[in-house]
Amino acid sequence: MKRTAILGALALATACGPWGPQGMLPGGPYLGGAEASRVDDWSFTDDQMLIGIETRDGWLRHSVTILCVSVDGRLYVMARHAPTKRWVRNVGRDPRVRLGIGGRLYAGRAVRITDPAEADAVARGFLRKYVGIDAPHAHALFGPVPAGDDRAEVWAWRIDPAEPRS
Amino acid sequence: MKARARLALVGVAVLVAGGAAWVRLFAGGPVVPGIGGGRLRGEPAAALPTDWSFANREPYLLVESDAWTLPYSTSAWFLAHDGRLHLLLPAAFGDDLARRLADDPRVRVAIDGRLYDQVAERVTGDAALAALVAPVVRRQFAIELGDGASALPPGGGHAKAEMAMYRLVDPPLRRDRPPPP
Repeated sequence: MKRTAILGALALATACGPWGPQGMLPGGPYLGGAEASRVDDWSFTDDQMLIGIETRDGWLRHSVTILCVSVDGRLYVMARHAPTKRWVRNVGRDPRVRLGIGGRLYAGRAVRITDPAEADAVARGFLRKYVGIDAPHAHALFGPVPAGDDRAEVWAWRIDPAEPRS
Repeated sequence: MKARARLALVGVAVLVAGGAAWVRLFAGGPVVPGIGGGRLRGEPAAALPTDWSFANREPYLLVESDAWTLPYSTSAWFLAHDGRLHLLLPAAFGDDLARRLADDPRVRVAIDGRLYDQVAERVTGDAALAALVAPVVRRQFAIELGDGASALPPGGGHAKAEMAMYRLVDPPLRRDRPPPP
């Protein structure tokens, strides 16, 4: 009885559930280990409308469903109203993430995009993938929103390999 | 021991069911992402705005539909454009509200604690939809479309997301109420 209660409390404490996000509902840790091999070309994610991301908050795990874009083989993820999101705060403290894509898990490191050219490329990739638009001059307005502007505050990250390149 | 475990399970089930009922019926709106709430709480507005631009400062729009037996509310993507509210309902978030709107387009929206009655009209037609793309993409995804944007051929966007758009219009005046001055 005590053991069941402890396990139940642990499962609840890790987030809303122990098996990653359920649709639009956030979840806890993914079960199973991360994909061992490093991915050099993420373009296979072009067919994935949504992916899961598991982030760390100390020993807790928090996972949600997000959008992703591949550009030149690299993978990017985005957050709308970013400062209000728990997973974004987690990534700010600990960039280690695991991605749930098509039933497989991939470990990586989320690196916030600050280069405007890279952000523009992500914006164009996003428009191609999700909106079906080719916009060669699209411009990303990622980052803080000036007062009076009503756009969502969008942040984007590149998913680098889990271990830094040597 | 077994009886105590059973009792604990029943207790947990009652708590979960009670919580779900509270969220669905009495919480005054959606409280859990991805799960609808019940009737919106707020003060009925004395008049309907002629320009809804002020609503754009809100990140989401609280929308209630009474189409089916129980009132259903959710926080939806939206945009005030050309003075009118527009609901944006991506299919990826589920179609709970869209299915209700198909049965009964009347909605109630809550902004700053005030409740406004509106009627949702589906935006259709290439020209009408195209006119919304740039403002929607800017507001929702912080992307300026720029010049020279063009639609990709069908299937060109690998994960082209379906998003239903609705323009909210004022409900017809009720005959038993005098028109506003």
